[in-house]
Amino acid sequence: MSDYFEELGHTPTGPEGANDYERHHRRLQVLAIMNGIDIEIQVPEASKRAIAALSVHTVLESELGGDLECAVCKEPAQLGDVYKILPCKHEFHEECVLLWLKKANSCPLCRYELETDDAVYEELRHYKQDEPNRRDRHDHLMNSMFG
Amino acid sequence: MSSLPRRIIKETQRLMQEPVPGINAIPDENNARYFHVIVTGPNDSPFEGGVFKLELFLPEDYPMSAPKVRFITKIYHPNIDRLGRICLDVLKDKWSPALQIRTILLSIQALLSAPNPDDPLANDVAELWKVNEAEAIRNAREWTQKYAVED
Repeated sequence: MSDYFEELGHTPTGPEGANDYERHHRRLQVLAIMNGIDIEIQVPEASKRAIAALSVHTVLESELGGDLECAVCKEPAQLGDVYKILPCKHEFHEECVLLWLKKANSCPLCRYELETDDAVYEELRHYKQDEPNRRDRHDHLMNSMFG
Repeated sequence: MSSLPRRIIKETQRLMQEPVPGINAIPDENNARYFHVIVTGPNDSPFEGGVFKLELFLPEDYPMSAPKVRFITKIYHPNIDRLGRICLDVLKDKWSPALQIRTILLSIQALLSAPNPDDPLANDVAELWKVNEAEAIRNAREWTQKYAVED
């Protein structure tokens, strides 16, 4: 699409000029996904607030020899290792998971999504989180009409 | 180039010691991040009997970024284009650092068993796969015989 504008010598307008175009384009992608169109979208990093809120687990001697392993570096837990626990309860070495959360907002094991600072993407994240409720509401409506 | 992360060394050792059936991956002797890969066509697929060469490269920030994988052998498949590029979600936005070379190659093997013409990369192939699956499968068999079977 941006090529098309370039060809016409046109700068997309808006209060922030060309930068605003990027935001609108992302918004359009988000709306497309909400409408069931399967497209790829650039995933934002987790917000600093979400990262700061993660709890910490320091590996104790009694936990050694179990199956605790960091799924990112694939190393078994060692005494004194610092793990970060995500809201989905999956835990990883602090330095391993922080590297990842600066690239994407999801749990490496179950793709649970953490909060981001990207207002447009947050719309999609909330929409996805609401999925089970939406299905319930739909079923409820159907049952009330045809049940 | 910086030294090789422990995780890559461990993955490489495991790939060599306990190879996945139908998949062979060995690192290049000059570059430990570049792998020569061979995937055999799964049974009961139009790629059966074929031996497909691929290349796999681990980028500098692996495992924070997905491996780059490409078919070198020509293949008639709706999700693989003329340049051998593969349309597979785990290589793109569904990548996670908990995945590894082994799981990625398994996904590619599975893609050969179950082509997905609704998410195409090679448009003409996908189109035929949808309107005339029998002919598409025939083409895939022909290409397998022509390009992926050693004489």
